[in-house]
Amino acid sequence: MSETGANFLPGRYKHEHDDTVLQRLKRYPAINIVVIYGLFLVGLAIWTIASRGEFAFFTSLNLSVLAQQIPITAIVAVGVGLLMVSGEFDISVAATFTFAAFIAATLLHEMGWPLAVAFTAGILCGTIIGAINAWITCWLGIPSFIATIGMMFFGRGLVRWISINPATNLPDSAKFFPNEGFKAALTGQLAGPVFAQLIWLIAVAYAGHLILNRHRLGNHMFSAGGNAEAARGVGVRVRRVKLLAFMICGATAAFSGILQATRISEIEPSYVVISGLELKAIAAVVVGGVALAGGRGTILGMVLGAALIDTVDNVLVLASAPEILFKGFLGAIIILAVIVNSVLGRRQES
Amino acid sequence: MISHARRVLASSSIVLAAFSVQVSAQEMEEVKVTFIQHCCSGATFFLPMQFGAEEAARIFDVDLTYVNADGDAARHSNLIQTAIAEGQHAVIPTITVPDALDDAVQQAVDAGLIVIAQNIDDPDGGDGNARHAFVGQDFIASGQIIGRKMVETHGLGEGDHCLLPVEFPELTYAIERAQGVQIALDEAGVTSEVVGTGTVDAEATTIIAQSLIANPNISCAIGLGTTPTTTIPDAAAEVGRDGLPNGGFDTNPKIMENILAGITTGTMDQQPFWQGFLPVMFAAYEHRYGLRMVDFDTGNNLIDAENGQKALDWGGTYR
Repeated sequence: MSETGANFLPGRYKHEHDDTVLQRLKRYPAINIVVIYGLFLVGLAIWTIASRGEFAFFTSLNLSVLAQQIPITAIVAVGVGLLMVSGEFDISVAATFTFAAFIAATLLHEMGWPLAVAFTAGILCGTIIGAINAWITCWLGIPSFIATIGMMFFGRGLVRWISINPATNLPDSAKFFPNEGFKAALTGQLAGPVFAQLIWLIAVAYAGHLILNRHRLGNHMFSAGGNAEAARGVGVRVRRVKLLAFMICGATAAFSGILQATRISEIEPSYVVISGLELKAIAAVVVGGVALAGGRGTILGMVLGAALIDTVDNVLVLASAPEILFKGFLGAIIILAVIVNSVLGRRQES
Repeated sequence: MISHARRVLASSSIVLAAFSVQVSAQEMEEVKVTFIQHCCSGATFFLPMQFGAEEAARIFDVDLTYVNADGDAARHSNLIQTAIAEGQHAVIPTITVPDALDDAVQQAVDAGLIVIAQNIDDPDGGDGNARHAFVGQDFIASGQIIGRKMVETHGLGEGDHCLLPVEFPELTYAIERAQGVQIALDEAGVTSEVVGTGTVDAEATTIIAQSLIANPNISCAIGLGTTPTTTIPDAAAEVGRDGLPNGGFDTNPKIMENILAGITTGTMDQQPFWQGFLPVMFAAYEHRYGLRMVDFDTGNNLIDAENGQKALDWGGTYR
């Protein structure tokens, strides 16, 4: 689906016509995470067969759960991943995710705005938050890690403020009941375990792929993330590239937040504090092979990284893993996936 | 001879016991239950709940899956659907917000699962969603009890102002406890304000301390959850307000030590052990014998210095 900054290495296509399919596959940038996730699924298939169907991973309903959850994480991960390819972080995505959903719900139900406008305003809010992050980072020179931590806390405050219920003067969860057509378009069940969220994920991932690999902006993201000075030297407007990456990151977080709110008809202000979505998204893209320092990454890797994390989480529940060790298991598996990915990556490069 | 008879008797007893256990095991149909705790792994309040659920699982031979939803309603919904996919016989969720779990709970009921809410219920009770029963505290009633206890013990009245710190002010438990407390405070002409603390003790201490600095007129504090009830005395001490009348909800060793030391006036014990034990037991008996489960109020148990010792002795397990 996508490629990396390796595109710029001289001679990349030199022996293309002489290579075997296997050699080409080996050079495919996202092959590591594809192999890891594929092997994981094979392991689950063997487990299912060995348990004579007792292990419920491949049941339609369980796949439905994953088909609704993975897109939420993966859409955020695509935005975060594009930004990391450009050499920056965004720790404020959980705040953006929740705030945008609150904006859409408030405009729709409390102010009576048309649904399309409320939805657009939610996405716009996320985009503006991204632009503010970019301004603080690129124009004021504050490292994005610090700037977006600040935005994370500011966003939490905004969510608390906007969620105040005038009747009780306390923060309250917000209802989100869009019309049936909108709900079906965003989160409806299409067939079996296939839900509309999956289509939206494919659309967002494909758009990300086009940006990263078929558009000049993608080349500039790789070069800005890989070596900003060198990129400036060849005329890349690094600040503008990063501004767009931040805005895309904010927009995807906002869109994902509205998807989630549409699915469960409600948004909790506490989500912004305790979800851990920002770290989950960063973990997903790192597991998916995006370089922490920027300049390297694939859309497929970002999506599969998110899928792997949500799938592991699901399998731990199905396996009745001890609750007290749950996060430990999840963390260990993420670390293992990153190590395997890095080792395979180094071997691939050599 | 006597000793031989004893040996024969003992051997027979063992064989009979083994046989009866085997028969019981055959009669015991497998019951698979998923218990979803809504909040955070390792939080002290939930230890007795998990202990209770696991004890019931042992006693009633239940295959128990105990998971937590990390305070995320979407994850909670996923976990309910995963329980359906696994073919569980019962799921025991927490209805922390009014609407987010409605579809998943309905799906579980439609799939034939027993659904028993624990700890927190829909504000509209059984009319609010499809769950079969609820095991937990009547938040409004218990709020009134601790509110009246504070008023009576400390002679609170006109001009007094209470701080009501709570982990998540937007969740149902917080809203209803605040309502209950305020009913009691209104009777005495006492005003109040709510502040959110989160679940981390250190952060809660800081937030409560800052609230006390910001409003020197605060003359009492009632924690609406475990974290603030635990941390109010430390926060008050930090800002030189030792002796600030305080009380709250829930139990843990520190709250009990403060009560027994006379620092905290009292706490409403919602008995989380029962909230873990009873739903698992109800699920097993409903599945095996068709016994209908019932709504069960676990907690209008006011604990003060006179009856607090056992709660301290058994903290983390039964209390």
